[in-house]
Amino acid sequence: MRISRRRLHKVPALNTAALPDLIFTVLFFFMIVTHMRKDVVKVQYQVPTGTELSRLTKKSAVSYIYIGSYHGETRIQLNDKFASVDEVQDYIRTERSQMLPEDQQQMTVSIKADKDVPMGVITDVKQSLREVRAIRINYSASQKENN
Amino acid sequence: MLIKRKERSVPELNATSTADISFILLILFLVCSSMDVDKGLMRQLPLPETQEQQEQVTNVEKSKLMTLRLTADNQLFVDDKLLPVEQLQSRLEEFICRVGAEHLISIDADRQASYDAYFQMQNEIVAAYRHVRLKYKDMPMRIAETYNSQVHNTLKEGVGENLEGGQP
Repeated sequence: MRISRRRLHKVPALNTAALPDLIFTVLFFFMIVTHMRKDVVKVQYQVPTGTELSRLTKKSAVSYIYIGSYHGETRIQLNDKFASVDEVQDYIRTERSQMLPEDQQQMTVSIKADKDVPMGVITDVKQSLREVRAIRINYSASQKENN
Repeated sequence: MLIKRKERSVPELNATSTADISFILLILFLVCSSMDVDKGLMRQLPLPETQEQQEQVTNVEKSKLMTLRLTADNQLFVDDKLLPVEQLQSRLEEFICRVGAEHLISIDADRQASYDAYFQMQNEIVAAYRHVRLKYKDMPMRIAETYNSQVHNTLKEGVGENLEGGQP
C-alpha cells in the first residue's frame, strides 16, 4: 500500500514564470550602474594613488586624455589614436562641439596618465587645455589603501 | 453553437525562452560595459592670463609666499629645504593658517620629474586645504604654478575656487 502511494506522488513542476522578470531586473541594474566602454586604450598606464579623490560625475561632460607608454615610449592617446601635444586643442574643440550646451559649461577633462610619465608632457597638455579654456581637469587616480 | 464558442480558450503564450533572451541581453551588457568608477583629483586651471596679471604674481611679499620645488630626481624642496612629501600637509596647514587669505603657494615642477611625485604633492595640498577649511571656511586657494620651460609662464591654479569636489 505504502509504496504504491509514494509512487503516485508527483513533484510539481518548478514555476519559472518570474524568471525573466528577475533577469530583466538584473539587466536594468547593470544598464544603470555601468557605462559603455568608449575607447580602446592602447597605451599602458597605471594611475597614481591618492587619498583626497573625488568621484567623476556626469560622464557625458567628460573627455579623456590618456598618457602612457607604448613600446617604452611616452605617447598621448586621444580617442582611439595616438596624437601629439598640438592635436590636443583640436580634440578638445571637437569634443566640446559634440556636447550638449549644458554640458559644455561643465566640461571636464580627465587626464589618465601613467605614474612615471615625465611632468613635461603633462605640463604641455595642461597648457594647451588652458588655451582652449578647458579649465576643469581631473587627475585620474585610484584610492590609496590604508594598511 | 454559442456554447461551443465559449468553451474555446486562447492558447497560452509560451514564454519559456524569454529568460534566455534576457540572459543574452544581460551578458551583452556585461561584456560591453565597464563598471570602474572614475576617481581623481579635481583641479581648476586658470584662464589664459594677460601680462599684467603675471606681474602681479611676481610682486608678492616673501613672507606670504611658500615655494614648492620638485626636482628632476623627484625630491621636494619647500622654501629651498628638502622635505619628505608626507610632511608637506602639516607644513602647508601651518603656513596657510599663519598667513591667512593672503598666502600664495608657488609650485615649480621640473620637466623631468615624474607625474607620480607631482600627483602626491597635489594630493597633500588638497588634503591641507581640506583640513584648513574645517576651521576657516572661506579660505581661498591661491596656488601659482611656474614652469621652468622656455617662457616664464605663470599659472594660478584654482584661485578662489572651491576645490573640494568642484562644482556639481
